[in-house]
Amino acid sequence: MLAVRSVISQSFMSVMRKFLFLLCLFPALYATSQYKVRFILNENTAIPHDSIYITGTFNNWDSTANNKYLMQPLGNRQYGITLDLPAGDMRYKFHRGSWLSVEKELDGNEVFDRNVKINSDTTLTARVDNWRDQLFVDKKLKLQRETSDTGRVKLLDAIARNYGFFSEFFNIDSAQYYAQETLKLYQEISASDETSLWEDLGSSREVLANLFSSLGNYPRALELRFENLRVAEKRNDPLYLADAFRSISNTYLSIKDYPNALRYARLSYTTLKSLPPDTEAYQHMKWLSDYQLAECFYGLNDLDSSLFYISQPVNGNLLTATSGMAFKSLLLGDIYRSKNQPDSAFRNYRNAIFYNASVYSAVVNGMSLLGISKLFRNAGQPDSAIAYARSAFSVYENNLSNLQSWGENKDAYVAEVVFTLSEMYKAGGQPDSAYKYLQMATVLKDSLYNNEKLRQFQVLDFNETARVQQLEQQERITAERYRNRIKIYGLIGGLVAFLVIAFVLYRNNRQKQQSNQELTEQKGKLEETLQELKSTQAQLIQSEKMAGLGELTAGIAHEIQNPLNFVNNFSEVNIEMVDELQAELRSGNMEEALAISNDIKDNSLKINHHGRRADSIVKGMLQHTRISTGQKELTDINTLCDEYFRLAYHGLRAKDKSFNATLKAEFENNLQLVNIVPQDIGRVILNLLNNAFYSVNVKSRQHIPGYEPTVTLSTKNTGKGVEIIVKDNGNGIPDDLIDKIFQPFFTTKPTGQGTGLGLSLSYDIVKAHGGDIKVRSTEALGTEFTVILNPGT
Amino acid sequence: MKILVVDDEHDVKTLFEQRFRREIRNQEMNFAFAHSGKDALTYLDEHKDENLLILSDINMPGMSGLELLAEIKRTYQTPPPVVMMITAYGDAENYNTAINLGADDFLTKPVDFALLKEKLKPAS
Repeated sequence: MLAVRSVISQSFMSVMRKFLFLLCLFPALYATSQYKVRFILNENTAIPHDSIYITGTFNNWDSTANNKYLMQPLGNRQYGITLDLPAGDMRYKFHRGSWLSVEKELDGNEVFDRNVKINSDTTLTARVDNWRDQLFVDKKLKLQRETSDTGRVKLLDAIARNYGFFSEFFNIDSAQYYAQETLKLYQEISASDETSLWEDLGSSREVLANLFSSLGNYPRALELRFENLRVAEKRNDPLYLADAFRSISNTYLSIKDYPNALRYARLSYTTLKSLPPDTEAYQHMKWLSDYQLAECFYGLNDLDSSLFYISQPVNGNLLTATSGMAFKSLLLGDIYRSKNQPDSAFRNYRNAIFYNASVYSAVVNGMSLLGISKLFRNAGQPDSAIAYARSAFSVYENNLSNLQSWGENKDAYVAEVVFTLSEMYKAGGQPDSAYKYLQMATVLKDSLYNNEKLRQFQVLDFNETARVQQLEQQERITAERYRNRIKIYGLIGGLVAFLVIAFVLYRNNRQKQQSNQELTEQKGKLEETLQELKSTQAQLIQSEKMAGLGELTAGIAHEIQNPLNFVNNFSEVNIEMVDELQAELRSGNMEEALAISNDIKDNSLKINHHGRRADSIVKGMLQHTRISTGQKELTDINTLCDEYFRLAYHGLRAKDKSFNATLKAEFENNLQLVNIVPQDIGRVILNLLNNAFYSVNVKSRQHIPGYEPTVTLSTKNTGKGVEIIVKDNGNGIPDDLIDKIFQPFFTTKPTGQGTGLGLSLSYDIVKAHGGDIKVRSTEALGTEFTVILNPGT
Repeated sequence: MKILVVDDEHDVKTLFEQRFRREIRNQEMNFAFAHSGKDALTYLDEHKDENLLILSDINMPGMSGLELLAEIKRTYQTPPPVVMMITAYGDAENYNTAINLGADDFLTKPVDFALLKEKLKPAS
């Protein structure tokens, strides 16, 4: 009995032990499924006070400026946040308050998501170089600060490429302006810098060639590309040579001169052979060169050769990175269509449209649709054929800037579609439509391939051939002379060496006497020049800023529709729900009525939230686009200041009851009257005061002992005119941002609190009055804005 | 009929649930929500046999609505689900791209729910 009991108790104990063990293990298991992940972000271009958020798979890519994901400033342009995250794979990015401001690389590409596996407590460090909405602002700011000409050439070229190659930013005038500035500045500076700049010059030339080709001016495009070829020959760099040959081949393709296109495509192909084949650069160029040959053979109707080159093996990553799959599928579609294999052709055209989604090129879509149209025509389905051709037509009509950013001429593509349409209508027994489209096609083709242009081409071609022959002849002559003269050189060499030594000794002696005097003179001159340069640069910065005004994007007008969607719909829902609420009340169903009223309240909160969101967007837009058309009148500045002083103060108190600051008004008596639009200048004063109040408010929240937030508005008679001075003792503006503050959309306020248009608007207004705004700021001590107005007549 | 709504703004879920609360109560319509293109594809993978209609936003972080559309139309060929795009950016380029990629309809924000209900009726 005893023995049995002890066995039972033993096994009981072991079960208990197991249970206890599991119990202990449970919290441990639970704890390991969540980890503390610390994110550190280094960045250099956002504003120090800006809000930066993290977004990722863990919060469903929440980009709504959710405070839970706000990174905390750590100083030294570092931000940090610690999150409890579950074990496993996760992806993340950073943004400054909305989807429009996600991080980008310096060349404008959106930064790829970071992918990490979480399996312990860890710290992840990332770096952001650029933000989506600041692509141009950042580069232009750098341009203002860049003092070396070499650096400026590189930046000018980078801006030209952004304008010329990115369809979302495409601007033909700006691209041309910056590309020409690149080449102009280069010509002004010493040629010794060429070594470090030739790539930038080449790319600016290519931007221009791209623009000319998109405008149908192929001779000019070809000229620039020949220039690039000459430089590549001089540098003897096979990669650039191959690329230059390919660009030239491309230009010939555009005018359907297939024999010449093939000639240069082959040159590109053979040049590549001197490169080591395992580099990424080689593989990239190899794919482009194969593709170029395939295009040329297709144009020459040699379908088998074309198929051979387009089917060459390619590194898969490379194809997706260069949007190559779309172009490859399109050409395959064309080849199979010409080979009368409609099923393969159709599949490839559909693939082309699919792959084109991420890097959208209107040409790929238009040509694929036209190809599908021709397939339907061949299959005896004229209605579908016409429908597809018409959608190809509308793709070209609606995507002008996309076509131009790819260097494509819209008319050339439209002409082809229109001609096909005309043939289709003719075959379908609709002579009216056929005639209409034929006429359109004739007009387009005439302007594209007129005799004058062809003649220019022949001249260029002749020049190029002559140049190559001349080069070869020169080489022969030089070699011969070299052999003949090498003996004479030996004799002359000794004599020259003697003369040189004598001359150097004589010169050294003279130079020592003169150098001191010359140095002093040169120093004086240099200082003068530097001063001149500085003031010219300051003026340039001003005009540059003003040029930036034109860069308001249409994106913002669209962005307003998002909050409006919620406002409209939630308010309509509320109307319906009030009806339901009343019905429930009538039938005495209190429980249900309460539930409905809670929903109504929640909806109203949402309406309010999204209404404010819309409000801030609209206010910024309107103030900026509509400068008052009010009349100028002689105005007493003191009265005006007093009025807007009160307005600003009460406005602020109404918004934030806890706000408190000392306000000082120091008005100088007997100011002369000035001729101004009072509402406009009032708006300037209001804006400057609001900024000042905001700044002291931010500082007072830092609880610095002894800090008294103070804003002073004063007026002054300068003899020549009147000055309005707004002074605060807030945190001041850092030196590196002071040039930026008058630019539109620049703000140091967190997202949602400032539109970044106030100061740029104020600047516009004051300049329109012939006055000036000046700013003086000391970091940590405060800022002083001075508006200078001179009396008008 | 199940409708999958894809939008990165979280309030969209509440809005649809309230706008269609009668239809949901009467079990005429059934909604699911995804906050990104990737989420939507995961949902599609997990519910392969469901008869689905998809309403998708275009501007979303990560995978855009257009990329999602292209992926759906390529992967799910028989029968491809109906996909309607809903966007604040109703410009010609967006419209053309969506239609060329095979979108079945294109609506702009603010959404006219009366119109949307009309369009969804034949499906449900």
